[in-house]
Amino acid sequence: MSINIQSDKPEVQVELEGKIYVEDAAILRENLLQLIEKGKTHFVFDMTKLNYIDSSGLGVLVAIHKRAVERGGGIVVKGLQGAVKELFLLTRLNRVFEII
Amino acid sequence: MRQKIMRKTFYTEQEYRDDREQLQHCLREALAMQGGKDTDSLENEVTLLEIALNEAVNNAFKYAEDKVAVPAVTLSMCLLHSQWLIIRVKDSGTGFKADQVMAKLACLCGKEEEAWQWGESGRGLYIMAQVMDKVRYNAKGNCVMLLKTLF
Repeated sequence: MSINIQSDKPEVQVELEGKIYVEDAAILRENLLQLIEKGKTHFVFDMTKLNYIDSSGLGVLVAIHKRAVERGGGIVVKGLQGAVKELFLLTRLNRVFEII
Repeated sequence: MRQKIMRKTFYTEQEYRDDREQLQHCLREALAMQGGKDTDSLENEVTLLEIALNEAVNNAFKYAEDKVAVPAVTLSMCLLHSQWLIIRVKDSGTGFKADQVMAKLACLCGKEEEAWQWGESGRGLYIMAQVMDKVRYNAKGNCVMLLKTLF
């Protein structure tokens, strides 16, 4: 798994690459919660190169999105494809996140 | 005819992680038997199956430590009549009320559905049920069978 976070602008860019397994989801959660604590509220997730995520990773995205929405922001997801895109649709997360 | 693919007991999550790549290979081999699929479709199916399997195993490890000295998760995979892929995941714990949870997930609607969508957990069983053709827990709730029809 590779997480590339650019947080120097108001909108945080998060690029996820490879596979996010349960143990990786915990790391992702830590990194993103720190940014929320620093006052970041708008996140754009690029998932073009992401080819695996499961309920643990999806749970992290929802957790961050909820906190961001509470503070007037939210998560935008882009680049969904293949099985990851299918998983978002299966779990109806297309109704939770803005997907572009 | 029953064709064994693998059977192994894992005592730690790390042991399972070490075998994940091999398990993915087993799933790919089983799905490739279907034939007639392009590479992208096959890889998508392999990934979704891998997700369902990992959900079952992650759940099992979550409950395996319940009131036992040596937590363990046993995974078995076989082909039945070359037609059905059957995966069993059994943990050493005392189980949970799987039938009740599955029944609730099967009829999500209205505010319950919205609460579930915005929930930070609780998607694992739902994903298993969506990806597989059958998901059955035993009465104790410590063993799940996942079935995928290949043909």
